[in-house]
Amino acid sequence: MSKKFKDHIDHLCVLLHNGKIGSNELLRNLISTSKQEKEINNDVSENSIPEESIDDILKELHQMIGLNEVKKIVDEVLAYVDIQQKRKLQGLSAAPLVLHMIFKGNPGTGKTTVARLLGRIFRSKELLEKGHLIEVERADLVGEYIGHTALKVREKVKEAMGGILFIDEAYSLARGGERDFGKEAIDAMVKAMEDHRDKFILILAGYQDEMDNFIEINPGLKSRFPIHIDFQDYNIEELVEIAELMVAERQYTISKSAKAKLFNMLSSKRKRDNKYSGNARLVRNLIERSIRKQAVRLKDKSFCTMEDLVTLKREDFEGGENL
Amino acid sequence: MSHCILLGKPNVGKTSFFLSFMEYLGVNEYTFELTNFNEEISLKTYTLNTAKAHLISSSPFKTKEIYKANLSIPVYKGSADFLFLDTSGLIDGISKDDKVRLSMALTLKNLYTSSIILHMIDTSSVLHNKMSTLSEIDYQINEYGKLTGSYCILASKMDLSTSVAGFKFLEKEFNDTYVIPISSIKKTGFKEVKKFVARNL
Ligand SMILES: Nc1nc2c(ncn2[C@@H]2O[C@H](COP(=O)(O)OP(=O)(O)OP(=O)(O)O)[C@@H](O)[C@H]2O)c(=O)[nH]1
Ligand SMILES: [Mg+2]
Repeated sequence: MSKKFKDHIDHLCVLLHNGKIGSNELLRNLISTSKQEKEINNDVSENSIPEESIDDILKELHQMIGLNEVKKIVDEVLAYVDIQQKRKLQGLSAAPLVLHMIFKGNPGTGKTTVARLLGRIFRSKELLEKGHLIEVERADLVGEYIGHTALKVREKVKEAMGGILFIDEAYSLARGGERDFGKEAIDAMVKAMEDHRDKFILILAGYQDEMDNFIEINPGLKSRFPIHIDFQDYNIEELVEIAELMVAERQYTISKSAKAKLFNMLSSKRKRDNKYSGNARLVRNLIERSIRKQAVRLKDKSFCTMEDLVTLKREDFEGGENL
Repeated sequence: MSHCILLGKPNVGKTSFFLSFMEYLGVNEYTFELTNFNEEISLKTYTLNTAKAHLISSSPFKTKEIYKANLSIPVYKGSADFLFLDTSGLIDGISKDDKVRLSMALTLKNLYTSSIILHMIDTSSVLHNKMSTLSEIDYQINEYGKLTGSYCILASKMDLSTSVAGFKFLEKEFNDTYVIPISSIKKTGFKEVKKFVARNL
């Protein structure tokens, strides 16, 4: 049983002693927490992805829109891994494979998706046992009292064993100054990396500038993360392509005029709020909004053709500038 | 080390079984570790007879702390150690007595850390309405126990005349659970309990 559940039950025992709850209530809780615990354990085993061929996964990566630099670096890393493995087989000295990475880029540029694919790639290369992805952020790692942080970090590392631990907005760990436990989290993380070499891969992700700054002020990290990948913002054409893929997945299409409207909206938005605007997340929101608007538009129609049902029109995107 | 917890309603015969089972396993030193709610530990040593005289009573809530004994049991090629826990009786709801609430909290605190659960139900009182009679909390222990896997019911006091009917009722009521009939007075059913524990160590 995990520490969290233990703490929970111990707390209930205190309440029982104080007469705040009865024995039946405590047992009901114990039963439901153990059920949850069981489910979580099942999920963990489902986390391990079934055997699949590296070619299929790479094809999936290369079919992703844009991400040209990312694809190039992944190919490089894989080539390097291959050669090191071959050298080892021939009895030549092989550099230990350190695959911890830093992902830099704005939100919605595909960092998590690529991390998930890398997990599968490394699993099929037998560099990772399971290849699953555990996504965490500051609140998952930083505790509230001395020792709490190390514990939380250890727990997350344990979950990520055999896979990838992905820390989003990693620089926020350095936030808060001397008295903050974020620093403790970084130290605990570094220790976990030494203790469990090759057992999991750590990816630190976040905005370009913040990540650069984060690594500069934590010089110990630099050598431990040899692979840096920059995620460029998608250009407007790529964003429209992404939009088309997204609607196709949902069995919709975008009319020509709607596409033009989308293009204009995306580029004017980019001009207006430059740095952090746009990217795949905005596109997703726009699409979801237009699907709702289309439904409202069709609601009172007495008869809908197939074409009506699948087509997102220009007017369905109206007002999306304000998203 | 595996913890094997013995629990159930008050007065069902937990302590009697605890001591007789130790005797059956050939223990000759009755030393118990007592843990209170603050996890402070003290040791107590008895002879079998003084233990029986001091720790067993015909009135409920006799046991108020957790008694732990280090035992070992023969298993395939050798023996395995385990910690055997006698606990205080559990009742439904919120007791008015602070001492009872404390002792129940102690029992339940030790429940989830135990890997083997022996749940005692008094067969002689099943069809009556006593403090020891089967009630909601027994059904909850059963539900929890089944989740953990290493769980069985000890149907106690099988030497009494009303017990057979009580045992039949338990078997039917908990038909997906292993129910072992035992008597601490006649020392029956002990072999089955020993096998069950050994299998789950
Ligand atoms: N006939 C018969 N009586 C038993 C048996 N086991 C226990 N008793 C009696 O049941 C009563 C309660 O026994 P305990 O062993 O103290 O029961 P307990 O479950 O430990 O009780 P608490 O500690 O108060 O929760 C005593 O009067 C025992 O003599 C048995 O196998 N047969
Ligand atoms: Mg007792």
